[in-house]
Amino acid sequence: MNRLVFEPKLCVGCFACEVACKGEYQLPPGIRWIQVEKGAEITNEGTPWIPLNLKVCQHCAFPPCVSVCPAGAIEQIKDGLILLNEEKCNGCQKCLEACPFGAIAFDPSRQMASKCNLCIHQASPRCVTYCPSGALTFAATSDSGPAPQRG
Amino acid sequence: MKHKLNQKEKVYRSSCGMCHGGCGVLVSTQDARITRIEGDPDSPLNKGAMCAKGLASLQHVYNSARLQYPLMRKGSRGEGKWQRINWDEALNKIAAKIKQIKGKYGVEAIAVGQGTGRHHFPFTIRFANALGTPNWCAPGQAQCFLPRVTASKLTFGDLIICDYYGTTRPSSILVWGHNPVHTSPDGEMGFRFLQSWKGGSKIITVDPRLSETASISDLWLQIRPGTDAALALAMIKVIIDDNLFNSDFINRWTVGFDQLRKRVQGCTTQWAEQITWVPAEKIIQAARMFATNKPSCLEWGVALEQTPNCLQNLRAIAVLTALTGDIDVPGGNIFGMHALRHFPTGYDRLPPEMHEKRLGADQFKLLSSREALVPSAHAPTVFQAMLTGKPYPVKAFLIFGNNALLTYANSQEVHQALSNLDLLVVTDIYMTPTAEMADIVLPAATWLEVNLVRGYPLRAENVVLVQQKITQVGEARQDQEIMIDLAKKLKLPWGTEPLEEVINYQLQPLAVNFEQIKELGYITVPQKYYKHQKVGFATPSGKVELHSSILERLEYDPLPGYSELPESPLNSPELIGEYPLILTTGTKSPVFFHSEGRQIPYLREIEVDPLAEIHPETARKFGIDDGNWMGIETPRGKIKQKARLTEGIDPRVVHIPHGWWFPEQAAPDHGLWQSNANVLTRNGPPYDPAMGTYQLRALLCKIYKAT
Repeated sequence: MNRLVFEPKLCVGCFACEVACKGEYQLPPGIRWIQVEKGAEITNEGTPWIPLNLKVCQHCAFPPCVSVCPAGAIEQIKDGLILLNEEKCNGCQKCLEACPFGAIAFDPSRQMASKCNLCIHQASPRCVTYCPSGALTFAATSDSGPAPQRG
Repeated sequence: MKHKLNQKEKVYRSSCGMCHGGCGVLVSTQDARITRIEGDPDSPLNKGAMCAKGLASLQHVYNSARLQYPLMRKGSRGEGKWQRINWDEALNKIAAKIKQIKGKYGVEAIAVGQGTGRHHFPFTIRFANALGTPNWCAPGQAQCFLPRVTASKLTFGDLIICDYYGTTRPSSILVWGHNPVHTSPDGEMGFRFLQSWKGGSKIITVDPRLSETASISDLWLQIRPGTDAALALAMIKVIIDDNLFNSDFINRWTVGFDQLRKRVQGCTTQWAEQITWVPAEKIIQAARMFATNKPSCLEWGVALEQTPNCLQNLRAIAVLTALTGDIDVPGGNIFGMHALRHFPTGYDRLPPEMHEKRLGADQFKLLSSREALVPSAHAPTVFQAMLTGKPYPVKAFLIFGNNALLTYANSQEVHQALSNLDLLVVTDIYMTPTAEMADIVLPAATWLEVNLVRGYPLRAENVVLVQQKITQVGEARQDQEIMIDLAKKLKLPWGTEPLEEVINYQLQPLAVNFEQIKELGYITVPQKYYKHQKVGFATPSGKVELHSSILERLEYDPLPGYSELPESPLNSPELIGEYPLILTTGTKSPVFFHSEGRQIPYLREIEVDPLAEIHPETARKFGIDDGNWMGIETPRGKIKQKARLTEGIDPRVVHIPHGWWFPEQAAPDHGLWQSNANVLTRNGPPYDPAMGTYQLRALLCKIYKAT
């Protein structure tokens, strides 16, 4: 299936992905399904470089959030797409602790978890549509191993 | 990007106005309320792309903090007490006061102000000219973009822009004092820069900090702030000494090469290394990369324009670019097609004696005299006139879209000047610290509530984009409409014509009217290259002027040169003991536009606090940790910002962002004095002799841990 693929060397830290996502779902302050993080140190690989990382649901092949959810609210569709069923979520926040990427948020006003759904209602996630540099793409990955490491 | 429409939904073509603009958008409405804004994939410049600011537009237009009605001051000036009044009352009161001041002091006592290049920019000039005052001003005139246009016109006869738009990609791009991956309002499009980079253009970036553009560059020259002209002169010498210039072009199409060669004789890379901190071998490498990867083009930015070396910085870099001969060639530096008819600003209708009275006209010929491209008053001289009544009193300030307390140098002096006025009118979208000082505040329309056409890239105008009124919030009105109504109240002899008439005048060469272009959304004029081969360059000599005949006639240095800034480690030995670090300011945030946007939740979440950049070594020396509030002080004042430790800045340099106020903090100050970079900047002389530019960057400062 298609997943978000992030190439840090192409990211210019413009935050278009974040605002595109927030606007699509009208997310309240504090809930950021996708978040660009700017590092402080320069990675010295010949030329100086600002390290940028992306915090977002990886839609893991073997998702710890799914197995830890006591309410069965997080479901794995197809071979990777991880969706949150809001009707089932009891707000226990176990998934937040289980996610190795810190990619699940808790919405205090609605007392439930909140996370990326890869914009399944449209052809391409809105964050990808508005990434101006191609750092973020929506591409097929044959990911069947453990949760992928990024950055 | 495309989605199904339901029956009540309508889609309009427009172009984003969260910065100077240029990005075509599709705006969907449902029952006259805007529901979606998406990039227009067909629009010729952005091709569907939008930035964080544009994507947050809905939270701007429908922001609960927007001004919705005219307000009149109730308490004393700046107290922050207001009374709602209607438009007619507001304009009548303003008109009556203007007449009174005009009768007592003369019309030149009324100054008109505005911010940076927004939708009403030329219209404000038109209004000032119709009113009959020579004194309109804006923070950017002497220190943002106009100097680039001026230097380019002096050298090439017109503004050069990078050609990202044709089939030939620039082979190398020299990015100087500019961060186009985050900002792109002045004559270029950052999205197209990114495409060119991804296509393989070599990027050379000159910047004191590791900007996001420097980060992706092939070569980064980390320069000492304020020494750009020295670096450019040394690169010119390398290119001449190594015979890397385009000799056919130089011989046939330039004047002043021999004088230039003499001028740069002493500008060795060793000389430049000492001044600029850029290692001699990197200067050579950059000059060679730029001169041999052809076609090459220049991306120059505002950083070059914010010190008294303004015009010489720009001239040196323009002349360096001229040596490549890549002028009006595919993939090089091109002149735009100027699609629109020149905006009817009406300078010719202002009496000659008024042109002479313009504050600054006797000194700063390329800013304020009739020699200037867009004559405006010298802002610090206007504030002095408000404060001292000299050379004559300025008693009224009519501001259309400018947060003057954040955007002019030396905010404390600006505050005193505004406090001294008999009439201050501020038209704005939000209640800003500057609006809080006003007698009358008028609610302005956002880009989704205005009608206009504009040519892009700015000043090149190969594409004409439209903005159209799609929604209405409260009683907010388009600035132009306010000016027209005020002109009517004042019974001005002209300037009262309907806005659509002015727009249709601009559109004449394209043989469409406003109603038609609203449907089209944009019109593109195909680029023609090598225009000089038919008509020459639009300079007095018809050639590229390395030695400028206009500067010579105006008794300015006709050749590029370098001088140390008035406030600098070398020129200010009396300050260096107390203020040991170099302060640079003004890098654009990817989520805010100058002082704007801090009320917009999606954007503010990304940048909660102002972050000052310092090197970890400097932080250790001054006992500051990452995330600490840090005091920053210059001889003008002190502020605090949060420290961000990064190795991307020289240990001797501090960088602070500008435009910071805190809309959420209590009126009337809204945190104006807490983190505002312009509390620290310098508005006194010496200025750039031709442009009147003051020193906003490369100042001296000290830092300490604050609470």
